[in-house]
Order: sequence, then structure tokens, then C-alpha cells
Amino acid sequence: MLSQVDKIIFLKSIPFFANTTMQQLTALAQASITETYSSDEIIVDVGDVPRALFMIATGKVTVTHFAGDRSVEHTLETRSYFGEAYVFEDVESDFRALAISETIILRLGYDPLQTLIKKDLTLSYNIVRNLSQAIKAKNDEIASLTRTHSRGMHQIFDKIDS
Amino acid sequence: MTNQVARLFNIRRDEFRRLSIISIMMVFFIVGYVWANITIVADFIDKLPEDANNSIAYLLIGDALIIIVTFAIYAAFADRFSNNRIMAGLATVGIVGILIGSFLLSDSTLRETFYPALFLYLVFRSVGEAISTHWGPLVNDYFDTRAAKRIFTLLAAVTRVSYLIGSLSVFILNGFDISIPLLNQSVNIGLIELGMSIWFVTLLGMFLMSLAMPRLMNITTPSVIETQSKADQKSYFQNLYEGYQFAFRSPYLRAFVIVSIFMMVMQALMQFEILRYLNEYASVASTVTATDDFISNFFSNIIIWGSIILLPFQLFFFVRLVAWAGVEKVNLIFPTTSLIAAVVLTIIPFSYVQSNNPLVIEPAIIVIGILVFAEFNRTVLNIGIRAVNDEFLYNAVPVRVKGRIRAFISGLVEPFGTLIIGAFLLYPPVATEVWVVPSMMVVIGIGYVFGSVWVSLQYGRALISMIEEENFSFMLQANNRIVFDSDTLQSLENRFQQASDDDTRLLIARLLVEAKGNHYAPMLINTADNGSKYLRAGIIDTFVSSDIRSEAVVTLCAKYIVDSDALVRKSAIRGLKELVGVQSDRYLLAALELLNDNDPSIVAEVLPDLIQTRDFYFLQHATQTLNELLDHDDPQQRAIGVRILGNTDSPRVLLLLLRYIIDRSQIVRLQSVLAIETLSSSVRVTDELVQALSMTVSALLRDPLDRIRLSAVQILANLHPKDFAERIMPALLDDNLEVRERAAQLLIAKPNETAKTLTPLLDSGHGLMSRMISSVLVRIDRNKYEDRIYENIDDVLRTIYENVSRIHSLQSLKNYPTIDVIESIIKEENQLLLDEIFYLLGSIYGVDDVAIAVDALQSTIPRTRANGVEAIDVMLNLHLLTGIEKFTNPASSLAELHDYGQSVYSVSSSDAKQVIRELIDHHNEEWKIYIGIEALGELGQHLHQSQTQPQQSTLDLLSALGGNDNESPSKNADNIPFTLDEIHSLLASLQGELPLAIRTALRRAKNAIQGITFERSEQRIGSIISDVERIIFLKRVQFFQDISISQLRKVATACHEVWYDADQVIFTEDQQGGSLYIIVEGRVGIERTQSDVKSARLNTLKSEDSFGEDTLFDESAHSTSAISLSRTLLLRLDNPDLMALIQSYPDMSMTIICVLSEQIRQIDHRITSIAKQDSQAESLFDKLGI
Repeated sequence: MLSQVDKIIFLKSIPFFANTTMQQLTALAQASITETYSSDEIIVDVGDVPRALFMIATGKVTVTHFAGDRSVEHTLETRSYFGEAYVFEDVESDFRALAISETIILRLGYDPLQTLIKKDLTLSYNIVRNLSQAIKAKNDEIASLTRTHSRGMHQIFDKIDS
Repeated sequence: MTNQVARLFNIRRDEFRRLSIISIMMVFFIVGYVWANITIVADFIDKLPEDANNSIAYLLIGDALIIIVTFAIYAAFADRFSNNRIMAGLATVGIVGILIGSFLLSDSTLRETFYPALFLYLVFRSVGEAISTHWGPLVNDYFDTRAAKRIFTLLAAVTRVSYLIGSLSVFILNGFDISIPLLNQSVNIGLIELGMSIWFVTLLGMFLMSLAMPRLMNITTPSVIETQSKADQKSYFQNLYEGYQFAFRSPYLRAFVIVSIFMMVMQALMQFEILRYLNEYASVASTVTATDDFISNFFSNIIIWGSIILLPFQLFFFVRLVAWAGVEKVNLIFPTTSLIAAVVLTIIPFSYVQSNNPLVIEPAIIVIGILVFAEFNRTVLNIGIRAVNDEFLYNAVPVRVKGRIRAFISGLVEPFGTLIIGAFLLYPPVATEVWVVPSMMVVIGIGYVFGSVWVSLQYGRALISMIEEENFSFMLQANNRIVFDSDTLQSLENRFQQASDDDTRLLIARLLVEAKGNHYAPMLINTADNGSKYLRAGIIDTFVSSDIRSEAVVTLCAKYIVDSDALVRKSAIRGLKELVGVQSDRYLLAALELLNDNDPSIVAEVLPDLIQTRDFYFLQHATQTLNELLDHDDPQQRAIGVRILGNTDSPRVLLLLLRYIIDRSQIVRLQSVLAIETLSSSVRVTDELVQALSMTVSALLRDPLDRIRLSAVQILANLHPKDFAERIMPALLDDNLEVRERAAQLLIAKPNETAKTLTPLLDSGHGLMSRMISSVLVRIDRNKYEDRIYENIDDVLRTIYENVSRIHSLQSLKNYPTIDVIESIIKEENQLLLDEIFYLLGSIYGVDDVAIAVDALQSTIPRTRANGVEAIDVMLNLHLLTGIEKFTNPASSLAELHDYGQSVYSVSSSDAKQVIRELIDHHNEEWKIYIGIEALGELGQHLHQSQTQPQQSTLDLLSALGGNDNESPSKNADNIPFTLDEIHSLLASLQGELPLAIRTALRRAKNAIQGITFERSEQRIGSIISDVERIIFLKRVQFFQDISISQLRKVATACHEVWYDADQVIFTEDQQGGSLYIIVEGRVGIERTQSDVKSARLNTLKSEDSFGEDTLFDESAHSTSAISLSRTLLLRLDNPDLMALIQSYPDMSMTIICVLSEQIRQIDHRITSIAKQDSQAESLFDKLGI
């Protein structure tokens, strides 16, 4: 089980909270809940409304996104996090997070985050920056999945697609 | 049918199931309790030793001690385990107790002794009391604060019915013999077994239902306890201590405690007096034959008739009474009736004195009437009103400690009251002097009433504290210091040594210094000496912020004054200043050394201190540097110079600063105003200067920057010109609530002057001004102006519901983008009006308290929202509360709100035609007229098209078959409330000297109606798209969809238009980002180069799409390139402009976070979907083998 100090140090290592003050970290540590999952236990399922950020303190988690009959799977390890796109809105998840080893998760819900954001804009800048970086990283992923063509071919495709 | 029943009992349909389950459990409990009470208690009293049996005082004392011990045990478990488990545990204790009791009774020798009866009595009293108290926390687990108010009342009625069922079952199972032994008759052998069996079965039922509760309730409402991690759980004693400590800390609970003692003493005294007079009356009245029968019948009749009277009251009226009068007023009913009962009871001894015969009381009917009233109050009103309302009062206690607080009051405070009275009754004059008890009762009764008033006054504030405690407890606890033990410190030290990144090392350094101060200084200094610049600066900052003042730290700072890195130098000079003081030569010499530093922020750091010395040696260098800064071309440097000027203490500098108020740079203007604000508060200013400054500063109340207006208000207050109140008054109408509040606060600080100036303007006819003046005056004289505030709130609510009617009328035209913008404008106006209501309320109840309640009211969590409504309930009457509650309830539909406005405020139904007309008549705000004209143009264009193209074209049909989802739903011309002629005539009505923007809009609208489309051209001078067009356009862009119209107006102004030819590069990979692009016309390809000649197309974007979000905020390099695929018009929003907007509108950051979250979800979906999926064209080429 994580102590208050453990939680503070762990939260500081999460990019979302890299620039937060000590007081904010203490508040976040106070507001976050430690959860233990055994191997093969589902943390978040498709259709759940997570409304929380899940940070992996120890262990491994596979996050599988579904779209129709297709799915894409990522394995996350200690100090990774997931659910960042679901914290701030009441939407159902299209992913399943499954613990693939004994895993300790630090779960931070929407309300404390929102309260802290209201009190200090720097935290919101930080979150915005992290979300932007996540978009960038996901663009890389799209690039790796997309075929390449010469400029001339792109122009032909554009003409046809338009 | 269900709806009617729900309306009748004032419950909601979704509450039926939960209420039924708790009611069944309640019936189980009460029926068992009645049987146990009749059999076990009677057996115990029967077997009491002779000497104890003769003294009710000993019984009271013994009983109190049982309760104290019981609740001390209960409190150690309360709030530590889930409430349903605790209930199951209590039932188990009862079941085990009954089994042991049965075993004891099975022994014929033991059976005749006092001990089995004593044991069963202990079990009955402790389990019965604990379960009775535990209902509250259990119900609160499944019903929020608001719902609990209705549910507790109904459960009280269920309790009444259950008592009737219990009594009836006794009557039937006892062979229709109603003379069940109650006081001093022996219990039949068979009857006690029957009583125990029934109690056993009911407890078993409760046990099973308690365990199955989470499943039976079919809702997931985890209790507060379950959300705590095991590490956060406290030991039993800590749990007990924390709960009791909370009660002592809270002023509300302290008042509650005192009132509970008064109540218990009052109850016991009244019972004593009633019994005494009944006994005496029964013994002298010729019609009465048996005293015991008479007393028994008297009590039974009161209970039976009282229950019959009370049941419909509880079922149908009580909750409505509470809603109408409020918990805090209902709280005064029982203390008042108790005081009346105490006063009328004094009539009896008075008649003794008159008749001079203690055994003759005349007239009898008065005496019986008094006793009936007193007993009715003591039992029926006590249970039916006081006990239920106490449940509501417990709503102001955080769920986290609710169980323990109840245990504290029911299990410690109330028995303490009983102990006091038990001891008092042992005092001999009580029995002999007839005046002693009545006098005590009246005194205690007065105390009880005053104490209850005190509780009622504290209730609203307690609710606010409870919301703070429940919603923001993590913030409150964050202020506490972290506790370090030696193991933690050792572990931290190891982690510090092993940490690979500077961030973590600095965090641990901070924790270590916080834990043991100087102890770790040598280790950290050594780390700084060998670490990165970030670590050097960070460690100095850590020492300084933790107030570590050793010579080693001073030396460290002095050493790094000459560091090669500016960040370290800055930390070092700040540290040195903090450690040795600003006046010390050591600091000043170091500061002088840094005066010519190449980092302007370091110069800005040291310059004010050198100027402040007034030492010629330092001053000559400092003045020269300051002049250079003030004359610098760079506005940032000038701003630094102006800021330093503000730190001097010469009134003449104020005149110098006036020059910079009109500086071309916004930042310099802001700094000059801030500097004047600082100076004007610290120096004496002559009258001439006051007049000169006041004139200039008054003009700043119209500055576009909120912060400048805020400062201007403060400067006027600091200068305090003769016409101070008049000058500051315009700020009461400021758009920014903070500016308004500052102006109000400053006006209140001069009450006489303000009242004299503002009172005549109270009925000036300007709605907002009148309301703002009321909000100021009410803080000066609450009694005089409070009602006016409530009238103002009612007026604002009426306007809100009028706006709801307007929005309702626009629904059929929602698919027209301009109408959508109009709807947003009205919605935002309503939001501002709602803010105004809370502002007005804050002027009575305190801005901070209202803000906490409003935060809770706007929460997405139903329980928190209910707490918010409850807190607002205390501040408003039922009519105003309902209006606000309905409007702010996310579940309220537009139609419901519209109906409510019609029925309560008699708001007439608006039509869309009227709404657009009102917009065009909006002479104060040009942009609203513009939007009205745009709307007319858009509607007219559609009417024109529907008249010229009545049949659907083949192309439209093909488009429909193709299922083009991006097109908005079809717009039906029949819904348009205007004819073309009406639109023409409305547009023609706009005549005279019209501004250019309006004239342009009119021309565009007239062209649109005639079917002439507007061609955008790069060659046009100035902006191609007007600001209002941009607002309408941006509202359709996903990135800005949730941003308010007032914010979009600022965004629209900040956007730049950019044209690109086909195949032109907008940006390339690795080029610095920091801008958001929105496509107005054309198409853009987002690509990633994979080799010299090949690239991957990540996305193809069209009008209303945006790109560049990934580098907008951190201004990092682009990881993709963007190419225009056709001639393209873009709007570009740069990072500094967006950040400035976020500074002005902090809530915008949350909207942007949501937008980015949505984009991530969409990208994730795309990643999953594409997985090597190609465009249609690519697929075609693949098939063709190209």
C-alpha cells in the first residue's frame, strides 16, 4: 500500500503533474485512491464511464481500444497512465484496461482535479500541454499505420476523393 | 397511478424501491422492538430488587450508563465500515444475545433470579438504541440531503404504522387480552418466550436484508467509507476520537450538544411532573378506582390518539411544512411547545396554593387538559416533529463522521442529560416542594428555546462547512503537515540518492527539509555543488522557502551569485536577500554586482532594493539603470521600470507614473496602474494631486482590461476624493463580477457617505444599477434592505424564465447556424443573470459562503448538488428556491422550464419573430443587431430558395441517398415565422446613420434573400470576414463549440485571416508551432514525410475543421506538415492571444481540456479504425494494380 509520501513522489513522476506545487501534490495524493488488481482483472471495461485518471504505480496493464470489429492494444507499465481523455467528460469508454500482472493503480477522480484546476490555472496549462503531447504521439501512431505515397500520387488521390 | 401516489406522498418514482426496502426493514425492527419492549422490559422491571424498584432515579442512572457504554462501542465501528454491514452486525449482536438469554432462561433455577432478566434487558436496550440511531446513517447512504428530508418523514410515518402493527400483533397473539403487563405486573412464562422468538425472527430478517442491501437497492452509491483505501483507515480508538473531536470543533454541533442536554432534562422533568399529578389526581378523583389503570389508560390514549392525529400529518403535511418554513424554523416548534407545556404545568401548583389543599385540584377539566397537552407534547410531538427534524439537522454533518456524531449525541450527551436529572431527582426537596420542578422546567424550557434558536442560526453555516468538508476535504487536509517517521525518512534519503531526474530529487529534498530542517543541509549543499543548474537553483529555493538559515546556506547563496546560469543567480540573490536581510551590506553589494546583469529579470529583482537604500553610493547606479529601463523601446523593459517606480515612496512619482497610463503597450499601462495602486495606498497625497489623479483614474473604469479596471477602483478608494462614491459607482455595473465586488466592498467601507449617495438612486429605474445599489446598501443595513434583495432576485428570475420562453420559441429554427448563435447568446445572458442572483444572495449571506453552495449546486454528483440546494434553501423562501432549483437542475427539460415560467411567472409565450425583432431593436449593442440581420438574411435566403426551387433536385436526392452526415438536418421553410415581405420590411426599418458593419450586414442579408452569394476575395481591403461572421462561423467549429459567445467575440478579434493557394505549404515538420488554424474555405492535407519523396497522409481536412492543436500550447515543433489542397482561407489564432484569453476567462481552460480530450478519443478511434485501411481512391488504385 502506498503511503502519503509515496503517493506524492509517484504523482510528481506523472507528466500530468510535473509542474504542480507541493501543496497541490499533497492535495492530489489525499484525493487519489489506491486500488490493487490481480492478474487478468478488468480495471475499466468498454461502456464504463471512468471519469478518472488511472496511474500505474506498479504492474502492467493492457489497454485495448475497440472500433467495430477492429481493436488496437497497448501495454502500459509502471508510471504510465490511461483514461486521460475520459476524466473530464461523462462519456463511455471505448477501451478495456486489463491488469496482466498484480497491479497497483492510483485513481484520481474528476472532482478533485476540477477543484484544483479552478484554484490554480497552472495545473490546467499543464494538463492542456500533456493532452496536446498525447495528440502528437497519437499522430505518430497514425503515421505508422498509414501508407506513404509520392506527392504526385497524393494529388491524384485528392482530386478523386474531392 | 404510480405518479399520483408519488405526488401524494411527495416522493419520486425512482425512490420507491429503496424506500420500500428500508420500510420493510423498519417494520421488522419496530414489530420486534414492540414485543421485546413489552415482554423483556416488563420482566426486568418485575424482577428488579425491591429497593431499586422503588426508585425511578436509579433506573434512569443505570439506563444512562448502559447507553453510554453501548455507544462508546458503536462509535468505534461507525463510519469505519459500510452502514449496511454495521446494521447487520447490530442485528447479529441482538440474535446472539437472544440465544444466550434463551439458554439462561432454560435453566429453571436461573429463570427465577434477576440475572437472565438483567442480561436480556441489557441486550434489548443496547441493541435497540444502537439500531434506532443507525437508521440515519443507513438512510443517508441511499438518499441525498434533499431526498432524505422527504424520506425521513415518510419513515417516521412507517414507524407509526409499525408500532400499530406491533401493538395489534401483541393484542392478537395474547389472546385478545389487551392488559399486557407494562409496569409492575409479572410476565407470563410463555409470553417472554413468544416475545423473544418474534424479536429473534425480526432481527434475523433485518440481518439478511442488511447484507443484501447493496444488491436489493440496485444502485451503486458507495459509501464514503468504502472509497477510503485500507491505508487511510484508522484504528477503532482513532475513529472514536476523530468523531468526538469533530463534534467539539464544530460550533453547530456544540450548540446541538447543549440543546440536546436541555431537551433530555426537560423531557425527564416533564415526565416526572405528569406522573406526579396523574397519581395525585387519580388518588383524589372519586370517579377513578385504580390509579395504575387510570395512568395506563391515560398514556395509551395519548399514544393511540396522538398517532392517529400524527399519521396523516406526517404522511402529507410535515415535509411540505419543512419545505415551506425551512428546517431551521421547524426546529423551533418543539422547544416552543415544550416551553408552553412547562408554563401551563405551573398552573397546577398555583391552584394548590389557591385552594390551600394539595389533594384537591379544581377545575378538573383544566388539569386534565394541561396534562394531556404536556404528555401529547412530550411523546407525540417529540417523536413526530422533534425527532424527525433532528434527522434533518444531522444533514448538516458530513457523511464521513455522521455515524460517530450521532453516537456522540445519542450515546453520550443525551444519557449525560439523563444522569443529571437522575441525580437531581434524588435531591429531597424535589419530592416535597411543589415549586421546584415547575420552576426548573420553565428555566430549562427558556434555555431550550434559546439554544434551539442558536442551532437554527448555525444551520446554514453548518451546511456550508459540511459541503466544504465533503467536497474539498482533500484540500483542507493538504494544508496539514505530512507526518514522517524514521523509516520514511530513511527511505526518502535512499530515494534521493538513487533518483535519476532532477524533478524527483528536488521534490524529495523539499520533503526532507520539511521533515528535519537543517539536518539534511550538508547533503543537499553537496548535491547542489555537483548537480545541474536546475538542481542548484532548486536546492537554494528549497532552503529559502523552508526558512533554513544556517551560515552554510548563506555561503551557498553568496557563492552562486556569480553562477554562469541566470536561473541560479536569481535564486541565489533572492536567497541572500531573504537570509541576511535587504539592508545588509552583504546583500547590497551583491545586488550592485548584479545591477548590470544581462538578464533583465535579475536587474528588476535588485534595482528596487538599491533605490530604497537612499545611499548615494548605490543610488547613483540604480537611478541610471532605472532611467534606461523607463526609456527603453522594449515594452517589457519599460514595464519593469514602471513597476520599480511603484516601489518607491514618493508622492511625486505618482505624477511621473501618469505618463505611462497612456503608454501604447498594454503591459506598461497595466504596470503603471498597479504601481499607482501600490503608491496611493502608502503615501500621503495632496488635495490637488488627488483631484488630478481622480479625473484620470476614473476614465480607466472603462478600460478593456479587467485588471486595470479593478486597480482603478482601488486607486479611487485609496485617494478618496470628495465625490468618492459617485466616482466609484459606475464600477458597480462592470461586466466583471470581481470588479463589481471590489467596488461594493470599498463603498461599504464608507457606510455613511455611500448610503447618502446611493439611497436616492435606488429607484432610478435602471434595473441592474438598482439591484447593485441594493446589494451594497443591504450590507450596510440588512434589516432595511433585505426584502428588496429578495424582490430583486424574483425580478431576475422572471427575466430568466422570459429568456427560457425565448429559447423555447427558437427550437424549430435550431438548424440555422445564426439562430443557434442567438440561442447561445440568450443562454449566456441567463447564466449571467443566475450569477447576479447568487451575487445578490452573497450580499446577505457572504460571497464566499454562497460561492461554496453554488459550486456544490453546479456539481455533476447528485449528492453534492443536493447539499448545494439544501444550503441555498436556508437562504431563500420556497418560491425563489424552487425557481432556482428548477432552472439549475440538469434534469429539467426546456419544455418543463417553459411551463414553469408560464405557470409561476405568467410569462407569455415568445415567438421566434419577436425574439429576432428584439435583437434588431438592441440599440446598445451593435453586434447583436448584426446577428439579428444575419439571421433575417439566412431565413430569407431559405425562404427564397424554397419558393424558387420547390421540388427537390436530382442532385439533392443523390446526396440524400449517399447519406452525407455532415449536412445539417433539413431546414423546413414552413417553420420560418416570417414572410419574405416581412423580412424585407424589417430590414428596411433599419435606416438612418448606421455604422459600417451594420450597413455591410444589411447589404449581405438583402443579397442573400435574392439568392446572390457572397464571393470572398483576397484583394479586399481589411478583413474579409467581419467579427460577427467569425463568431457565427467559429461556433460551428468543434474546437470552439463549447466556448461562450462573449469569449468567441474576443477569439474572433484575435484571429488572423490567411489565404493559401492550392498546394502551398502552410507549415512543415520541425517548424515551430504555436498556432491553431481553422479552415474557412478550401481543404488541407496533414502529412508526415516518411522518406525524401514519399509521405503519409494522416488526415484531409475541410471547412470548419481545425489543426495545429498539438503544438498550440507548448509552441513545440510540428511533427506533421500541412498543405493546402485547394485555394484555402484560414483563420489563425496564435498562442499568446489564446493564453491572454484564458487568463481573462479561466473557465475557458476547462473547455479546452474537454475539446482536447474529445480529440484524443477521436484519434484513438481512428487509429483503431484505420489499421491499414485506405482511402476509397487508394483502394481503387490497388484494385487496378497501380
